[in-house]
Amino acid sequence: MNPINLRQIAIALAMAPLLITLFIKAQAPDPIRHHRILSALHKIESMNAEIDILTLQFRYRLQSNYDGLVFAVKEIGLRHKELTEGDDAIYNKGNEKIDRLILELGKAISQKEELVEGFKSYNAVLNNSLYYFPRIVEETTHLVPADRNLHARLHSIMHNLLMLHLGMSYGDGFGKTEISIRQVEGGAYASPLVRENIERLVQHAKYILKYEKEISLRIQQITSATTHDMVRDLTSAYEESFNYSFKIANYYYLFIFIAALVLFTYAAFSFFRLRENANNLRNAYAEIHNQKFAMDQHAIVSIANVQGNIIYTNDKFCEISQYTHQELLGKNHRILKSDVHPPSFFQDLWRVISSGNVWHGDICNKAKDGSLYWVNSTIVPFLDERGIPVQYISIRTDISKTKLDEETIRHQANYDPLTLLPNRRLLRDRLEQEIKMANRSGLPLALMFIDLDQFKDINDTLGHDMGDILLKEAAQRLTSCVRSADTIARMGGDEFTVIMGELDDPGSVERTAQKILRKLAEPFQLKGEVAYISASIGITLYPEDATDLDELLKNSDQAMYAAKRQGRNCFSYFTSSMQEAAQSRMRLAGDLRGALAGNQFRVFFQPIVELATGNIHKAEALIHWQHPKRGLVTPTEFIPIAEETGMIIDIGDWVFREAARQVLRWQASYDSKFQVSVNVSPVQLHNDGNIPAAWYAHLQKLGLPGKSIVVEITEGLLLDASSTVIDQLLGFRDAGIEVSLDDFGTGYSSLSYLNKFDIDYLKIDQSFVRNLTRGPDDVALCEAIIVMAHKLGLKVIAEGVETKEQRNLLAAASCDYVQGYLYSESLSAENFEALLKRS
Amino acid sequence: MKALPALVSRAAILITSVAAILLVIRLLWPENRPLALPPPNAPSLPVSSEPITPIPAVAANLDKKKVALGNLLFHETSLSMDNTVACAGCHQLAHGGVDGIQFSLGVKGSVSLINTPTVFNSVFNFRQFWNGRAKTLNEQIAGPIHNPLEMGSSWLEVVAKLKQDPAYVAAFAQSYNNGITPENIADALVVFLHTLITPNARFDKYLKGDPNALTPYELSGYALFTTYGCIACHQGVNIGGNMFEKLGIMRDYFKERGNISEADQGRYALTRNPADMHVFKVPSLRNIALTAPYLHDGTAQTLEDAVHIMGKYQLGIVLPNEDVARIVAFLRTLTGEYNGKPL
Repeated sequence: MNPINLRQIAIALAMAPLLITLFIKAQAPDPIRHHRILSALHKIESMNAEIDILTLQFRYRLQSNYDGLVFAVKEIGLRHKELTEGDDAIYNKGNEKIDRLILELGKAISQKEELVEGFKSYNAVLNNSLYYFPRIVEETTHLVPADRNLHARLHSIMHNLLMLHLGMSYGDGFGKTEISIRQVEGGAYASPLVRENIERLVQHAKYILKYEKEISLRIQQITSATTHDMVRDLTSAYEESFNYSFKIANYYYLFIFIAALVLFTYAAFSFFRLRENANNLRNAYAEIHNQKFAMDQHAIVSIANVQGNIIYTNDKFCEISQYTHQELLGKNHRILKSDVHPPSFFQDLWRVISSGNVWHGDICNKAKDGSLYWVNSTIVPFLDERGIPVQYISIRTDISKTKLDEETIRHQANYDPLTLLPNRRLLRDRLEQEIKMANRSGLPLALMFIDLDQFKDINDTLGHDMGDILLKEAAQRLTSCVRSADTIARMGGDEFTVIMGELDDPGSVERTAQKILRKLAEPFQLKGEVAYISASIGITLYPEDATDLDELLKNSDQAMYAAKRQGRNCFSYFTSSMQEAAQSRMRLAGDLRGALAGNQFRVFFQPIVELATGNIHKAEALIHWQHPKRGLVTPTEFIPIAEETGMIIDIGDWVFREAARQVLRWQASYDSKFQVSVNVSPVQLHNDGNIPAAWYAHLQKLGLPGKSIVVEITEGLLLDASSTVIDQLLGFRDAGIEVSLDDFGTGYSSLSYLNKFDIDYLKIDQSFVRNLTRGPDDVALCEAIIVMAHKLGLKVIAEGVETKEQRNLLAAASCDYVQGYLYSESLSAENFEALLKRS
Repeated sequence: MKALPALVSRAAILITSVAAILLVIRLLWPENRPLALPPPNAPSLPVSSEPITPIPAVAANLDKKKVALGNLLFHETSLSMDNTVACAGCHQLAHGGVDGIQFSLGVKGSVSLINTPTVFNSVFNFRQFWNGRAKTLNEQIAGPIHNPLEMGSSWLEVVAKLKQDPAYVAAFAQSYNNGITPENIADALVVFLHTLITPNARFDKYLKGDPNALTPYELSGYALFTTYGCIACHQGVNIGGNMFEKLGIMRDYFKERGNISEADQGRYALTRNPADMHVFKVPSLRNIALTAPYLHDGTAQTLEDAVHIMGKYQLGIVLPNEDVARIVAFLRTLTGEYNGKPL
């Protein structure tokens, strides 16, 4: 809690007892009670005075019963008791003076009461005697009627006693009376009755004298008692204390008044402050509300808790994500996650926001229907007072369109809008990358520069629109001529370039060029008009011709002009040697057409030796072309040409028949299980013809089992195996013809093919075998291939074995068959037969 | 300004407002204004020049429930240790408020040491007991209850017993909000005692102005009562009962009687003041004809005996029988009415 609030609460709590205390302290002495107390004090005072008056009245016989005195004494006692212990007590209330005076007064009252009791008793005795004295005087004088002297004495005594009693005697009244009494007492009396009477009379007279003195003393004591002063003192002490309390109460009262004013002021101040705060809050709220409204119009807003669960979404959020509020609330933000970003992207994001920082970036999210959208996001953590995030608010804007625009711009920057081919700029990028790749792979790349001949005429005669249509068509044709990995770019106008990377077969460049020329030479249908054009192609090679990108481009341009000079509709290499070689290959292709008819092909056989025994049960059939002018032409030179021209199908058939013929002969004469493997081109299998059926029929005609022949295929075939290819491969299997996978290890070498296509043999490429002696890694690789092949039930044939060391290593690795110069080069049928004879 | 949470601010304002309102009320409180006080009450003294004044009637404003309860308690034997003795046992209302014997009988056959005074008109006595040791009737009640020779019980016991009686519990609950307590028991009894007043004695009628209320013979007795000085002590509304006096002013009563007991000490037992030896409360003479035997020691069997003793010891003379007879005739006019009937 805010410390200010704590302080306020503490003040409020402290104020409460303070105010209560003030309230109690300001309580003035109860005036009614004050009145009662004063009444009691006055009562004591007046009753005290009454006692004095009554005693004096008794003394002078103005009063004859004690009820009044009793009442007065009782009243004083009761009032004193009230003041001491009743509800209106003033005793023991903290005023020492009052306490002392009360106690003293109590004592004085008791003393006075005792004095009064004594007075009553003595007064009664005195009165008794006074009542009786005249009677006994009379009785005595009756007894002695003659004794005038005694009469006189007795009456004198009575007179003196009454005068004394009335306080009217002068001089020593007591003394004179006592003398008279003694005279009477000492007189001689004859009659015992008189004597007895005189004795009683004297006794009463003495009592009267005695009690007169006592009574006077008592009255003096009663009337001079300090009770009256004490009551006065007590009253003034009490009034003083009352006035003091009243004054104090008034001070507190004033204090309360001031406190009330202060509190009123504070309350008013608080009220206005609160109202001001309320206004501020209202304004702030309105402002925030407006801002939120504004933000909601613009941005996609959501709030998530620390676990990433959504606790708030605005309408825009729902709109773009296609979820409803209900569907989103409580769900984790992952619900929107697309697979566009790697996990590390989100790890980074969380690291940033969970440490209390703002994250900013673009995120691709997935809407309910699975569509993706891009949002530019700012995620702000709400922190608690310790700086630990408690919520995250994310504010996003839809940038899908921007992203699309970016894509478009990027496309426009890099692509030719007409043909949608990469433009010069992208071409340079691609070429740069291709150069890098070429450097890595060590394989050359070719750059073709294509310029349409007579295009200007088309534009001039048919118009630019037609020209554009033609360009688009030409672009499509170009695209159809090259491999998907190759880049075709429009350099502008009627100029195109083609990058062909990773050229493992240099001849493919030429073939592609020729294909392009052929395709472009075909008629263009332009809205009812038919147009004919040709193209001139310049070819340059990396790294032979140049290592620099601009140089390469310049070279290709120059080569293209060379082609133009040669008469158009042809290609030209940048280097003359290449140009010559190309021309030579073109002549070779022409010659190939007559080679089969001219019986220029020969089939050679290379033995495949069983490593364990050294026996030869298998051979690979290899075609040779004996060119009438150029001599022996290797298969690598003419087979691509044959494949491209489709002649490979006839040539392949011819090789099979030759092989079958020899197998028949060798099975009959040497080994009934002898096998010859023939290389089958993908082109043969892609063809619609049913090779397995045809070959099987041929074998049956010769009386040979299917197993006499093994077809060798390449990995490339399996890589893009069409259903036709698969059917053909299954056809071979059904015919009992075994399948061998050639050049294993040079291509993709995917193991999954081996099972999928029912392969019987694996031929380790000679490049592996060549490397066997270079280090243990290659040996391990070979071993691994062999072990794996055996596990899958395949036999392994190692190609290109040239040394004994290689053979030993392969033997150690349990390789099944070997093939290579160590044993024999490829031999003519006659020589092979001689070899068989020898072994 | 730092914004305060609304709740705290509101609470602060509420508290201060309430406090402020309280303070305003306090300021307007009437107490502190000076009041016009009435002057202290003038003393109302029963002052009369007549030695004897007529007894007033029973006050009309007594609480009837408390009177009834006091009546019950007055006759309640449970106030004694063994449930045998009630107040009414000794203070028999039909016999002048006394039992007519020298010393009353208490619990378990015990005998008290002093003659039982009457309960009638005891409310007019300035003290209770012969030696006046109780200043009020309320104080007096506890005396007989605790006296082992009388009821021999205790408040604790009495309260416990009464609480077992649902009728008492209900009756006390009606009159007292704290139920059965010693104070309430005494209070109920005292209220009841206020009904034991005997007005309308013939002498009272005489005092009120009826000259024929007393016969000449009786009037001559009253004259002797005065001239012999009896009236010096026996005066006031109760004809006595408002002062102390020594028994034996002229002659030593106790020496002549002998067999001095503790009960003979009188006020000395309280004050230990030698002057208070044998000093007793002057007894009331109202209904005196009904309360024989007389004196604190119950030695005077008849009024005549009592008057003789008074003459002998207080006046020092032998009263003539004729005078005594007249005085006794006067004393017999002091018998009043209880509940409208002659006592």
